[in-house]
Amino acid sequence: MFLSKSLFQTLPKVVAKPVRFWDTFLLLSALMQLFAWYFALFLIGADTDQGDVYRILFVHVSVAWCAFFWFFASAFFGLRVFFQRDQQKAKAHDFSSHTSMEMALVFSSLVLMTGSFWGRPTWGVWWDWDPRLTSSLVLFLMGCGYLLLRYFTPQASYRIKISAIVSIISSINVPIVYYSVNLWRSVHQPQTFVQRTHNASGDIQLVLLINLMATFLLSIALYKVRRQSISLQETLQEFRGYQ
Amino acid sequence: MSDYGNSAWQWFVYGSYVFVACVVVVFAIYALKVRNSSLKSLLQEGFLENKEDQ
Repeated sequence: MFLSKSLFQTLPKVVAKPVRFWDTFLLLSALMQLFAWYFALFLIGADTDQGDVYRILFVHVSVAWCAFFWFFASAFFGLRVFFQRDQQKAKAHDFSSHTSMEMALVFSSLVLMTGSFWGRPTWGVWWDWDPRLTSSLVLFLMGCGYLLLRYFTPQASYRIKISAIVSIISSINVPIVYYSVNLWRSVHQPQTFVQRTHNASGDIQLVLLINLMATFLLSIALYKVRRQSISLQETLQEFRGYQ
Repeated sequence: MSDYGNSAWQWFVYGSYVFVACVVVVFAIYALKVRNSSLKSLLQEGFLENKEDQ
């Protein structure tokens, strides 16, 4: 779909099939995301307190949950690196952990940006050293650190292990970010899906769930395409090395 | 839509959605481009030649 027809036709079936499947999935999930955003921007009513500016919630919370998920996914694959004795399989888990961390980094940067966009009209500032914001920034910086560490560690076996350790440590920060609004005094609102706080009405929760699902599916599609590209790049480098 | 005192809310709301869309599109284009160029190189350099029947 996103590959030229001539190149696609020359590919072996074993390669062409997943490429076509995930390209189609990416396109469909992008369309679903557009529909979800249409609901969030034009169909649901305004909030009684914040007016229309609350609509940032649908994109902000969705990307935040995706960021949390991909930090955990990176740690999960990082753990599998340690429990895998087969070097090739350990390498595959490392690729998955690396891809997940890239996804986490993209989504956590979006969390910070959309949060800032929301903070300016509601709090009057673009940024505040609030526990939720600060812990989110630390999480983002940990993701940056992971990628820098990978880039500046040339020895493969050492890089795989050190990356796995950093991904596991980074995931520990996720619950700290999530519970930071309860643990410390914060200007940030509490969690949206906590029953006792009644932060969101039924229709808002429904549109938020649709947006969460759409963003999550889109992130899965992006992950798969990026995972393919990382894996193919590595195969190409190895193949050139053997020649 | 009403602004409830948040004048110029459109800039913040639409801006955040446009920003997220742009980042996602740029990331997708980058990932697709790297994947496609790697596939092309693997084909041209003969790595996928003997895998036609798989």
